[in-house]
Amino acid sequence: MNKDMAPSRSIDTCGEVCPMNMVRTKFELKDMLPGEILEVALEAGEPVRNVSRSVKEDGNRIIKLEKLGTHYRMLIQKGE
Amino acid sequence: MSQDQVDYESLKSGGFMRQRQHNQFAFRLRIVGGYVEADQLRALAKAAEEFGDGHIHLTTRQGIEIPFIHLDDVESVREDMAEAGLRKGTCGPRIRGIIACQGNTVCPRGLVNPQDLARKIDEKYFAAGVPHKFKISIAGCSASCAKPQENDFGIMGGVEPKWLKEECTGCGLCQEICRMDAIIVEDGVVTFDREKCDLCGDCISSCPTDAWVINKTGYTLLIGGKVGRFPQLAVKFVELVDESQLFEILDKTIQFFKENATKSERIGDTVNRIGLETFRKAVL
Ligand code: SF4
Ligand code: SF4
Ligand code: SF4
Repeated sequence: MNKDMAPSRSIDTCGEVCPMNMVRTKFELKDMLPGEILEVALEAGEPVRNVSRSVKEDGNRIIKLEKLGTHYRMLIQKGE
Repeated sequence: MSQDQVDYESLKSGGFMRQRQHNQFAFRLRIVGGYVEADQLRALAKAAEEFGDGHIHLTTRQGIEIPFIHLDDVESVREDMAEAGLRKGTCGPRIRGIIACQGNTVCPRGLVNPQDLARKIDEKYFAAGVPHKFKISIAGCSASCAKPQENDFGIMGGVEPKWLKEECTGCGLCQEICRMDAIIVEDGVVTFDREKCDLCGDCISSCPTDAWVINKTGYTLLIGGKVGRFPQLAVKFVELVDESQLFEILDKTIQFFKENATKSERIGDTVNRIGLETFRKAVL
């Protein structure tokens, strides 16, 4: 991974009930600076759907999505 | 007025339904898409206290009824409601109140405006006479919260997605979020199965690089749903029609129902008897 892609923060939302995974991701991003990267661990299915939609609506960008067994690792870059 | 002189049928089509209690009626209102303003709620509360027994009843189809109106107060209630901009509802073999979710006026997933469409359909068809009750419901997307499948004529907003190769990074997110297994991402190449797609638009609203875009927005139509003693779900008969096509098809559907229904038959039974293909040919 390129050095610029290193996440500055990381949260694990596995086990959270929807929409808490989305809400936690939103709050985390709120306190970050544009360009900074957040790493989120989340379960497959509804959590990936909800988080990816709200990330996009808020003007942030998913730069990477990795499947790790039963869960996903998502890298989100805070928008301008 | 004695009970013998009461014209129950005219009271019923006017939205007054006879209760089991002597000379008591429930006044049904014409609510469209569950939309009621705060001032109207105040007027309803006042009428329920003044003429009813102090409560209102919420029906299973987003309707409102004020029960326990005495026969002598029927006219006064009607006038008070009219003043608040609330019209009388309907029952019997007619086009019933239109159900709708909030769609894109409120819901993040909404693809169309079911509230606006509900008002237009209500203006044109409300309480029109048909062989049997005819219920219409509109959902803003295929999530179907307004249960179009349970109605005689169901409407769902939909978008047909289109993939832009040059924008795609091959991240695989769309494959994960598509509930219909209509997308496969392999070695950076996306394969889209239009047959499986239910036009929900999730891929478009989620793709990080806008590689999925709207190709077409429209309505998916369903026919023949009902609950009651012999329940069946409505079936999809056309996709992605625009608003003027929708009104044309609805006109033809009502015509088809009038021409083909045997007495006391819901349109679902008519279509079952005559065949879905014959119905499609008649209305499309
Ligand atoms: S049917 Fe779609 S638009 Fe309507 S409330 Fe449900 S999710 Fe929202
Ligand atoms: S989500 Fe977008 S970028 Fe990712 S694979 Fe699908 S179309 Fe390509
Ligand atoms: S519109 Fe919905 S069903 Fe169709 S491909 Fe996109 S996510 Fe899948």
